[in-house]
Amino acid sequence: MKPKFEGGNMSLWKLKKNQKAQITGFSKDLDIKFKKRLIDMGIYENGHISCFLSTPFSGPRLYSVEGTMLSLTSEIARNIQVKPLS
Amino acid sequence: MDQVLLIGKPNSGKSLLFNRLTGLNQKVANFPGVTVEVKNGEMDGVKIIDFPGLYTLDALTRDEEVAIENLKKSFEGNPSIVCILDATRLERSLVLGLQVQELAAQMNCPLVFVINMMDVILNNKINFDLKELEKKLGSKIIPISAKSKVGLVELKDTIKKMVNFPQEFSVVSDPERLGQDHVKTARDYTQKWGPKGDVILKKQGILDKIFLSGFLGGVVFFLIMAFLFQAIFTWAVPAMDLIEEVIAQLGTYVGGLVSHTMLKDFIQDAIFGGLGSFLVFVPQIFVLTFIIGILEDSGYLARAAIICHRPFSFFGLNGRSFIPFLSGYACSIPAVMATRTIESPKKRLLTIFTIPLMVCSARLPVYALLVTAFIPNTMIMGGFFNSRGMVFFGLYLFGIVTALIVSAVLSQTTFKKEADSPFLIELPPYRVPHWKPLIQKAFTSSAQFVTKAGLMIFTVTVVIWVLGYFPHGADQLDSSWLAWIGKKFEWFFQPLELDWKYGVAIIVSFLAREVFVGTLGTMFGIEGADENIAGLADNITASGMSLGAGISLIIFYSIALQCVSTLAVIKKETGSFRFVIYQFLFYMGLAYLLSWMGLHLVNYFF
Repeated sequence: MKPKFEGGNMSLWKLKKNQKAQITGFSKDLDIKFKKRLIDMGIYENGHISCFLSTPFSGPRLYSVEGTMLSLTSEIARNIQVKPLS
Repeated sequence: MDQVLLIGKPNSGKSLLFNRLTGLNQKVANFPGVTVEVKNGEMDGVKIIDFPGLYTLDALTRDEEVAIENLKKSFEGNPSIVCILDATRLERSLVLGLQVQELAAQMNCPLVFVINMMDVILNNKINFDLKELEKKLGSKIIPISAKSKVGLVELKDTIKKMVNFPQEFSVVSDPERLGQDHVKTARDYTQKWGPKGDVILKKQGILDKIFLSGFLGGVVFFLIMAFLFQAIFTWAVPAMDLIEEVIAQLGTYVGGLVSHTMLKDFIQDAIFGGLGSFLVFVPQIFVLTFIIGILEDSGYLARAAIICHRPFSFFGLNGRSFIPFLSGYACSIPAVMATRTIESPKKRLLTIFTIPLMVCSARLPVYALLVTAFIPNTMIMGGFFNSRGMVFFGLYLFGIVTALIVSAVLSQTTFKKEADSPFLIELPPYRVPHWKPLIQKAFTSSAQFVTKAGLMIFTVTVVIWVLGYFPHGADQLDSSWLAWIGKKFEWFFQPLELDWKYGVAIIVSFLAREVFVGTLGTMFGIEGADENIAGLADNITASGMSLGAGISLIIFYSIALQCVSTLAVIKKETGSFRFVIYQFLFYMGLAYLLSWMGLHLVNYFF
């Protein structure tokens, strides 16, 4: 089930290449332990994130966050709520 | 001996630092069933223990649980703690660093921070307030560059001081920090006093654009994998031949010292034959471990896993399953050992379970024999393809397709409840690999294989030799105890239209698949059948075996897990006898079922 976000928010997976965004929350479906790990790795509320690269066949994408490059699959990125910065 | 624990997040240069401090004087400890490795080394009379890299002390995966449990236990002996921070990723490093410092305070262990990658900071003229950071953290921070060997002397001196005067490095909890979570504190400190700038990221990004996008990335991937495959399939062969030759010569020499026939045969064929049967795998294990080490150290392996992730996850596998599968086409043994790079226990087990379906090189002589005996040598499709060649290609394809299907099914059934871990990785930096530690790692892997798996392989080899030798001695295989067993169990192979001779050959090839050819030859009264496949093939055709029976034998061979060496390695890597027994019976059942179906389908249509 794909989580839905409102109010100008969208899922991280929808972020286009080179598009910057601010992280605004997480979907309720996200496992707590896993949410903690995302925070530990630099994906936390009010932090900034941008999509660096996408791979063919909906493979994992590269995201630049707080000076680190992370790779996430769609299953994870869909549960992260972001607000694009223009 | 005084102990020092080396702790840090992955990609912080911890391994290199460990190597620099201990000078490759290391021992590696493995924990069965998980990929956790703890390294022990010595520096000037001090024992240094290198733990696997961790992002935080809150475990997410089983591997992390094991590592963190061990880490916390090690704190009980009041060791000295050296915690590594990565200057280029300080905020992330501090998330772990602050937790470790707190644990050191609780457990009364002295602690010192080391900030690595200072060469990058200085080269890019980035400023930051190390002194203030040190003051705020409340523990000494030693700036180093493990790569350029800068600051190591000061670090070594500090370590020696720390083990002798621990009170000078004791940790005091900062009341300001109490209650504030580590991520916030890490961010706060880094923003106020840490290095700024995404310098590394830009350079790395350029390389990632090459390796991960589109056509060029695919070409690079293909070339690297082709290279890896060639290395184990072809280049390890001279070393393997050398080992076989040396062991055979040694066996003849030692056997020659004895006059009693049975003892001589026992020494040459059972003892030295048994030794040879597992030592022959060492070159492939060595080469594969070394090359994978290079790929991992250089940072490329993580990118290859990203490329392969999506297609493999359809079948319940992982992007990191690709290299083990590829290696399995040369030999299952190094392939199973290569699964250590797979972090998810479930995906690792599924990969290990399905690797034996890859057409390993030992099966080729058997396929050559059966294809020659049963498939006519005709040209099809207007002379473009050869029917025998097509069958071979089909067998290679059959291997991987069956593996993917079996994996997909088992991931939803038998292995459904296994612990899994999601795909979330911090990309390691690209760097030039350090080959010396990798050579040592390759040696260690090979040695572990010899000591742990060797015994099981050797034992089974000797047992089967005994069964095949008695009561009438060498070259009387068809009247031996083994033949008696084969005849007694003929009913098992009868539904597949195979008589007892094939039963014996199948049992014996459990030792090493290619032995099937020589053994079957002996059953037919042919000497040296391995060298003369055509002759044996004619015998088989002349014996009136149907095409269906031939195909069923080929299918049986493709699926049944006949290789005691593979089973021994799987037992060692999973730490579970149950897994191995289940796997063996599963494939025996599947092989039997599909062979039977193949037999009847073929006989019906042809």
